[in-house]
Amino acid sequence: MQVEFEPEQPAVPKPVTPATAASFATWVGPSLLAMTRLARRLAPESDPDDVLQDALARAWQKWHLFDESRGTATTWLLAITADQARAARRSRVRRLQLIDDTADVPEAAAAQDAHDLDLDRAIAKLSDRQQLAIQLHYFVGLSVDETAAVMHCSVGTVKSTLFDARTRLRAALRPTLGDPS
Amino acid sequence: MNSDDQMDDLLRDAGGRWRATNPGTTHDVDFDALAPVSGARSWRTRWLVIASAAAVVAAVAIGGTWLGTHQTHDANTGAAGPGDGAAEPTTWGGLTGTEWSIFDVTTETSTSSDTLGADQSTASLHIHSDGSFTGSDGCNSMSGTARITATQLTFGPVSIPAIGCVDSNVNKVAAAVDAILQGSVTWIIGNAGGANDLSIEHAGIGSIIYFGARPPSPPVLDPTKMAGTWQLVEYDQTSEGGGSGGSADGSGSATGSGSSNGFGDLLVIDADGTFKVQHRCYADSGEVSIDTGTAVWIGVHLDGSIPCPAIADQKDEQDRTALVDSILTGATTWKIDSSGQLRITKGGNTIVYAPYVSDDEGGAATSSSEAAPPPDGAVSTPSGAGFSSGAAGSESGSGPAS
Repeated sequence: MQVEFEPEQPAVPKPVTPATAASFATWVGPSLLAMTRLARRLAPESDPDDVLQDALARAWQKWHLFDESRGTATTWLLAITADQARAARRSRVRRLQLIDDTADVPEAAAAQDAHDLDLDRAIAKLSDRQQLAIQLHYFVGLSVDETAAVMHCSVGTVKSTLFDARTRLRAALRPTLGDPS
Repeated sequence: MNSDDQMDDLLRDAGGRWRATNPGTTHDVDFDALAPVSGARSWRTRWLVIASAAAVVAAVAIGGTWLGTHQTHDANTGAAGPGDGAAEPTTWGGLTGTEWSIFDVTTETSTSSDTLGADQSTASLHIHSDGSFTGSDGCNSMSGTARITATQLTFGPVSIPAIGCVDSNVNKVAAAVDAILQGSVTWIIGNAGGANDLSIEHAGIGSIIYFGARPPSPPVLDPTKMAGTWQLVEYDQTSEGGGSGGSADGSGSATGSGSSNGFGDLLVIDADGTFKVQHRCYADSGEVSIDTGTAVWIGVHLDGSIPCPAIADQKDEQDRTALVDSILTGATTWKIDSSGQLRITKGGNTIVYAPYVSDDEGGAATSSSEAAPPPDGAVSTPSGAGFSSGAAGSESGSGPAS
């Protein structure tokens, strides 16, 4: 997934001023909650704080490439967070496979409500893009339009991705939820 | 209510409950640590502090000579100093022209050292090539001039408005910064092993560690700079239905990053207009017409789905090679960015290459984060990076995969 709105033409760097760090903090501030939630949802077994910090570091490096005409700061930052979470998750999977190929949901999740745990397990088995769509829309709380902006695709694609994901989740959870049909 | 609506409601309920139990961030976001180096903050903190302390000890032990990047040029007089002839007198190895943001500050007393929390400070320092400087102590802006020598910065009168700040920690850091950036101080870049950290030591008062963020230089679009050997370090597939690669859902979205020695995929571009692609399982070649920022690739590409039994991550391998082959066919755009990486883009998909360094040349092949951008934009063409049909190199580029 693309994580930056990098233009084809050379970007004009933003001027660096002594207030840059403070300006960046101010700029990021309104998006921090959503970034935190997404990091926690997408990389719960990794350290979400590290994911968030890495996402902020990458955003800091790429800040000059941000083009507000192509999306909001929040959607841009969430795309970066999703990419960092994915990298962290893949890295962790590789480490786990070296230790135990059967590794699954960590023990720490056992304290969760049983239904939520079943749901989380089912979500974890979705494809990456289905997971991202579910997490952004239902758990981070973005609208379908905002989810589409983060995922760099059309609203229709998000809707179909969510529909497919729900279908797979319904099938996976049928033993616990019962079959309404 | 149909079953999809039921699932929708279930997810909304679960999401709402989850958000209610995760109302906000408890993470102490460290904006001052948003330097070009990413990674574990705690580890880096310890490493820098240890490295800084070790350098101080070393400086004392060898008579005050710091180990690291120092230039030997007087910014005020323009006179060359007695030291390293390969110095960069216009930037002092990056001391000037870089926006330095505070990472840590330490003050010393006669009996102990006291490390202040610089996490909440926005202190910065920007030394200009003419010897003037601007910045902030985290509370107030400051400006003045400084004389630069190989090992020392000598600050002239520093203009700082005498306005206090509400936050006591900010005030403490600001007071420490103000005290340290007075008179003569020693300076060093790369004290912690990188090129983005600046340590300033004021004997008997304290020290400051900054991280630097240089404004990115414009991308290189000169066709001659593409010649050489490159190794794939990153790929980014976003186009809907683009190519056969992508994630498991087949929707055409995938990203990846190379390990420290890359994916084992090489791209060799010769000055005569031919190119070769070396995947881990097979090689390919063709002709390329390169213009400013654009390139047209013409070649016969093999099937990216060829099995590669010796490779564990075969699916990723096939996805990646298919993506590379699809991009290196027909018209693309390209640029060499400020970090020296070659980025080739087609239809929203991008492959990123770093200059290739063979094991013979520089130990392990370098990744994008480790490879220094070539000083003149050129890349090496190691003799050991040859291609042979069907006998792909390993990650070191030296042996067949099977």
